[in-house]
Amino acid sequence: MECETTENRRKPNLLLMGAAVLFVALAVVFCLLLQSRASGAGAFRIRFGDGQTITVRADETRVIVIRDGKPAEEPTGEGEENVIRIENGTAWMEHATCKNRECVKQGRLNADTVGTRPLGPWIICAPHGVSIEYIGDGS
Amino acid sequence: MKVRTLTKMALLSAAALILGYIDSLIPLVPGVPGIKLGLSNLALLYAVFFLSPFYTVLLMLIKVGMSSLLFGNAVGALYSLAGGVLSVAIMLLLRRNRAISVIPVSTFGGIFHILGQIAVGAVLLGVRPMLAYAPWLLISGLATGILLGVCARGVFYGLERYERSKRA
Ligand SMILES: [Zn+2]
Repeated sequence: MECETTENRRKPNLLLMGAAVLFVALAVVFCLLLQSRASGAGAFRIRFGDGQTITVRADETRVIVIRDGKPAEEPTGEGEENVIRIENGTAWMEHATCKNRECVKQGRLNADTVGTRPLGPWIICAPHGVSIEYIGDGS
Repeated sequence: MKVRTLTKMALLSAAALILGYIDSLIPLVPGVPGIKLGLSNLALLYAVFFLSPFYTVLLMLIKVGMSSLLFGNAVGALYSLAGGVLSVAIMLLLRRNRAISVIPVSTFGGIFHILGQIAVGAVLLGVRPMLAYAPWLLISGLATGILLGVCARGVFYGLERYERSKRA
């Protein structure tokens, strides 16, 4: 491998690094502009792995069990399972069988935390295709 | 030469697996899943610069296969396969121009790895959550790509000096 760093060799590298930084900056701005912001005490939209969604009012108390992409009755700890709890206006992933349980670590989602959480109004379980979104109103 | 390549492939696969495991133990941004240093890409970077494209692609497939067998599910494999294919493709493409050094190759590898994962996420979870998720992933892909490139440059210099001292 050649490791000379003459001017001619440096130029394409600097250009590429500039392009990389510019691309990421533009993509981030694009995402931020398109993001929807939740407002007011409202509801949670829950997306199951198979793509269907349900909306739950934030003032309800509910436990939602999802197994292999579909709603289930009781948690068994088997298969691709997520247990979502909604209580006192707060939703969180109580339990999950995914690899690193990243969704469980994403903490609590409510009107107070939505502005300060890294993922904003979302709790995402990427490997199971399950998400919880805080939305403005339940309509 | 054949045995030498085989040995290198075995060593690189093992290194990728161990680095990947260490990686999974280090959470970079609490509350944001999937943000990793991408340490195992060091092995892939080595392959891009010192082995043929064929062996580079093979190593990527071995890495994806082994890590999903050992630590994940099928969907997890899909995320890492999409990331692996895109990052190896861009790294090999850039490497065709010999003037391009390891830091930009690693940086673009990092960004394209993330783009592959965002694409799979958009299909599995929808585009809207990805709008919240993608900025974190892209910035981390850029940062870890640069960091890994700097590390790789150090390692490559060291290896080169070692090879030269053996020949002398
Ligand atoms: Zn999960």
